Amino acid sequence: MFELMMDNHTEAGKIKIILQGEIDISTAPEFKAKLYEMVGDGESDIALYCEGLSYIDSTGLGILVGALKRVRNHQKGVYIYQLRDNIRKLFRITGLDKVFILEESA
Amino acid sequence: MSKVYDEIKLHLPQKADYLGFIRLSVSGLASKMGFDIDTIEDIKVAVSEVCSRIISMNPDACSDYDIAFQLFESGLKAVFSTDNCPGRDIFEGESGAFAKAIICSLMDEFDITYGQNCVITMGKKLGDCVNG
Repeated sequence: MFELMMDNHTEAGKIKIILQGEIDISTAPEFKAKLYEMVGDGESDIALYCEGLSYIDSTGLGILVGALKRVRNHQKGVYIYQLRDNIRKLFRITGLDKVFILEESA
Repeated sequence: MSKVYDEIKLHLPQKADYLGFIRLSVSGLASKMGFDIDTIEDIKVAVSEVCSRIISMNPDACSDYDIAFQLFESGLKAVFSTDNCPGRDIFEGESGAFAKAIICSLMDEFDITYGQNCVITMGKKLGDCVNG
């Protein structure tokens, strides 16, 4: 189970999205559809709050990369906040800590 | 690794619905063996990645696959096998590359054999990863 919520209060022009729960291939299709709908054409920066994200697998990481590609087409970025250590480790292993902007705090 | 003292086998439908069950089961098993909390998380993630790749090979979900957890004094080995071999690299594509990087980094042993069956083996030594 996962939950994806968009906060209507944008911060410095960023679309604020709160992600909670577990993302694996059972939840990936719904996660992908909802996230891409929120990201739209990718014309705004994305602020992804992950304090409640307890698990994400390679499929979920691939979906995040897809969102990143959309915003990068418009010279924007994906900022990720409040990542748990176990998830941060996966970003580091896959090299995604170099392409997403991982913020230490928010 | 040394001699197997116990083996636990799971026979599963190739469905994503049971991934949570597998993660819970392997976490419990690794905990019982005495792995520390961080290593239990690593094993759980690696096992789930392999299951995901096997399941994603067969979106029609009409086949089964097997996992044998072999318990050694020195560690844990997981052997995944499916006779529904796709004839291609199950770690192909962007997500597949992420999965492979994650498994290689988190586990001590990782091997794939493509034949009539697909057999994927991974192992984690207890070593310094002991709870306590």
